[in-house]
Amino acid sequence: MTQNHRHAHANVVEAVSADVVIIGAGVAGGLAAYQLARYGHSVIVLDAGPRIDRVEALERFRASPVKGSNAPYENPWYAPQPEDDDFDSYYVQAGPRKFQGLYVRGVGGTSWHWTGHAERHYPNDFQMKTAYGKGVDWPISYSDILPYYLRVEQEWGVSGDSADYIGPNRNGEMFPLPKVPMSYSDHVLGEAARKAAFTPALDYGPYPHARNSVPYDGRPQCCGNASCRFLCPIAAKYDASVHVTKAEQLGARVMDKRVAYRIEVGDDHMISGVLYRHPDGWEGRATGKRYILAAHAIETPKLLLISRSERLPKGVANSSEKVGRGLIALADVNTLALAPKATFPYRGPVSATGGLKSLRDGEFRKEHAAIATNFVNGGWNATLGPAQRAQTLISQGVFGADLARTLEEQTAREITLGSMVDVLPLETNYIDADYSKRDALGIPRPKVYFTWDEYTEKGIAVARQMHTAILRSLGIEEKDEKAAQVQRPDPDVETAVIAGTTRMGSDPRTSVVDSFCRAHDHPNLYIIGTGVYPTTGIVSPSMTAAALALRAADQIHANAGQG
Amino acid sequence: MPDSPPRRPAEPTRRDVLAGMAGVAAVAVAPTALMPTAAAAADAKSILKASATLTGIPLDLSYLDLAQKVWDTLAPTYGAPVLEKLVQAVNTAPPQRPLKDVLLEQGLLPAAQAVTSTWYTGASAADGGQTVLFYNDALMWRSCAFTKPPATCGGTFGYWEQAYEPVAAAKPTGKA
Repeated sequence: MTQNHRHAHANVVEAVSADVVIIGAGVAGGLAAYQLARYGHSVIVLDAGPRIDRVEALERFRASPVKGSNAPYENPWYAPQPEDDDFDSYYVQAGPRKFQGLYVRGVGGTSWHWTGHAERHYPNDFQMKTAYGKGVDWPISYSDILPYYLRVEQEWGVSGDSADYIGPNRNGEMFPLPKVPMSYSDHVLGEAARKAAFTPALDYGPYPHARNSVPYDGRPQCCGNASCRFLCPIAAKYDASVHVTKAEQLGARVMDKRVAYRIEVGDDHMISGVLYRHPDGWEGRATGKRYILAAHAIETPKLLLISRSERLPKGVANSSEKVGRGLIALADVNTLALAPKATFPYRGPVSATGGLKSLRDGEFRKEHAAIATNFVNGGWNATLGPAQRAQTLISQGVFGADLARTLEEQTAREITLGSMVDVLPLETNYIDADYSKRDALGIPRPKVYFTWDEYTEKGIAVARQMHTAILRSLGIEEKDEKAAQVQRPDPDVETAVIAGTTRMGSDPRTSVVDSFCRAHDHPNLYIIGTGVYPTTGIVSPSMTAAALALRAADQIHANAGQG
Repeated sequence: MPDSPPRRPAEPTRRDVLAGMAGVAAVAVAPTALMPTAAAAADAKSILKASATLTGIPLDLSYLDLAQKVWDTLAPTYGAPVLEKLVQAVNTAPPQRPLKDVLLEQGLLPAAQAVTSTWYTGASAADGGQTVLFYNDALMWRSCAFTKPPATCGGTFGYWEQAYEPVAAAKPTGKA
């Protein structure tokens, strides 16, 4: 502790110390905590939110009228998070597009409601500038991260078929667990896609999953609860509570309801402590030799920015002025339709067991954004679809046997083609701390600036054309669209992917962390999670974040003796 | 001690009936004195019959508890007399006439839609669905028998790969 910070600690009633202090007990922080504890380091993990009880979360989900991704989870007054149905409740929206990234503040983090798609980035995702002249290159390559992908797949227990999967070439590497089968709906849509009049030719396949196809690591086999995007009630889907618990069993101390609000920096540029507030009104301070920020791509940059001081007026780790910059979220393009025959949605893992392999990577990325198309298992609305359709029918005066029969007949034909379209890391997209709008603990709320450019718009247009081609191949004609059998909502900002606000790079002038996720400005500070992504592509981002977390933990361990 | 015994209504209200119906499930263990009267049981059956007709889903006595919830939720908004009239109208509607027409004629369509919507969605139609009463038991899941409520186990691993095959088809009842 440096002398010049002592005056700020008057309210500190809890002082904790460890070799490594981690802020954030999510998918990256939890795995890093586990790995470092395994290596024998003492670890403290602070999380802003509460511990999450699976049974309570399930009850909260059932009682929620919204039943969105965040519905099962308490929105703590002391550590607010975005609401499913109100993206202004916490975010300060600066536009021009409304940012809709959802995350959970609580032990286990947003992994509680992630898709469970255990996807690797494509090799060219790491070199977008070199390969396609778009975006920027990462300072690491696919081969650098490959050993960590393999480790994560073992840790999570990834299920897949090495002969048929969505993702980059595995060169024969087997998945640890057998595949999760695609749904009946996947096969119907996939075969239609194969026959669609579209260039390039479309092909489909199953996702690799971090959900158990067989019992694994003390967790049960999936039984198709069809609620993965909200909560897996039986923990067949991996979430970060797995490794948080393992870390604790190895001696790590996980402390919930500790809302970090200031990172202290010594005269030597080393991080000297983290101050936090507890909802009961007291404050604490955590000190360590190494610090890891793992609070996702909104809270992490916000914490860095609000830790500004006379010596660091731009905030911590921000000599480049890149903290908060390059915010990435994908564009969501959905087409909803009623198939000519029953596809039996609302069964099996949601949101998707299968999707298109095509348009995820290739030369086309010189012209337009990559597209990841899911065959959504959750019908038109995974939790409320049948309810909404019933209400529509009832409002039309349909009762009795007609109601029961029509609801079943229509709902069984619901399909959704859900395409996520890549967004480049634009300088105009960023988050800032809004000192004029504070949360209940007096901490500035995140102000978000977000849009996408023509590169994404071109990708959206291609996704639209591709959706139409698949519908035509399925037998849905233009006349059907007039009968409200097809709906094409306006493209929206995807809720599931938030990345790019503490960019990784080789040049300290243009990035925040180096290739091992270490802050350029502070040798004992690491930042992990999707925030370090210079670009993100269209894969589910969690696996790369987990791999980078292991890589950072390895480096921390390797350099543990060096001051 | 009061001067006179408490006044008893000549006819039990629907609420009284439903309150009594809630005890039906416990009939096997309940003292005889607490069992619902024959009249109450008849009214309970009337309500369930009307609900089954409106929803097209057979509702046996195991639905009494939910019927009470539906009634209690909607009565403050629509009024017990209107709901009673609805039950009678639905149960006496000529089978050859579309139910919607009968309900429109008697000014009962909004109440009928509220009752049916609440049964189907498990959420109160009185407040736009903001209060969830019985999501897992909502009748939409019985109509859509090929699936089940989210966050409940759907069957053996991989069941979702095959087309749904009904084990035993239950015929919808009631009229449209």
